[in-house]
Amino acid sequence: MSLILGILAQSAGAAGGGNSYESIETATVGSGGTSYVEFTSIPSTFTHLQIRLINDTSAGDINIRAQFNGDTGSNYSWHTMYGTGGAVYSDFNGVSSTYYGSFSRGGNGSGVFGASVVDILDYKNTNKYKTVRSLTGKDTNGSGILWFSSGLWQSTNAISSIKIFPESGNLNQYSSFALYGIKGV
Amino acid sequence: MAAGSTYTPIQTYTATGSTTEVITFSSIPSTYTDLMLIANLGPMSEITAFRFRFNSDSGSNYSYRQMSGNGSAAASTADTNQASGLVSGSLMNTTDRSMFIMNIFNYANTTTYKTTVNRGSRAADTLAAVSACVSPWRSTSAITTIAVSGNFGGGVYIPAGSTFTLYGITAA
Repeated sequence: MSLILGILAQSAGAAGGGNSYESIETATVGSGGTSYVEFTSIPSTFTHLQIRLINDTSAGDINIRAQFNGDTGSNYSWHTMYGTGGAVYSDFNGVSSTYYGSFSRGGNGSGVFGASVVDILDYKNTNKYKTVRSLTGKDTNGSGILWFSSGLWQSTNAISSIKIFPESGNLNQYSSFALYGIKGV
Repeated sequence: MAAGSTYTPIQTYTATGSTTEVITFSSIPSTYTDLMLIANLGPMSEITAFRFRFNSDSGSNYSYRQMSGNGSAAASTADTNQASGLVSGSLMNTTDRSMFIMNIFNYANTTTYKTTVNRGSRAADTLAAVSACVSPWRSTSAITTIAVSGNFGGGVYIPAGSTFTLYGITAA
């Protein structure tokens, strides 16, 4: 499996045997940051995917986006319910976005990291559009956000790559993205 | 890919007796990437949220931001400079079971503050509640102990039979 950008550290171990929940790959951002991370050549041997991540960005408190299989077309949409500590809101990007816009949330640009658990369901199924679900939180001891988000990639193609990038600026050093595969029976 | 198990149970604790206030997981190995704590609690001795501390730190080094719903309204609250973090704001009460899942990210690294993102719920025909929260610990120390409690030192007791299981998740 390849990983775009040589500055990202990749550690690969021996293949696990017999696990339903397997670690596929981890990308950790090195010194200087990076404009994106990308998981490529994702194996088709699992049923679902999960990404567990922490991230901070040079632009601070911004959204983290995702695209699948290099698709930059208007094929994404999402809903979000989020709390800021004072109120609860709901947001909707209904149609024709060129990215999934609420994959995660950046930190504060000064060492506070946002964290997410992102589930991508039935990622290899060629009979379905692809559903993504994110649980994300970021708190700076005075501000922050917590959200549930669901997203849709309107493609029946099996997901073979996932590109993750901030809406502006770079992902900061120590941002870490771990991709896991979940097997069905 | 990672060799061996990726999602590994580390410790399980089942509460006994009637005077347990704090559950502590100690000597947590540093060999995983993330931790998950999953709990299923019986009715508590009084209405309470559920809190945590890492490495016995009772300083004002925690904060939280949460969102909850009770079937008729959704709300979001936050607080700063707390002496413990928030696992679940779904108020545990004296009649219903409750449960939570606590995600602790990159717990063993010594370069970043530690972020937790947690979900909780209280099961009931009425007055049920569901919540999620983010609650960081402002320390770059690796986490070696986790303590959870209804109210540290406040005399809130965890009922016998409540279960707590700590899992380690290994990334490649």
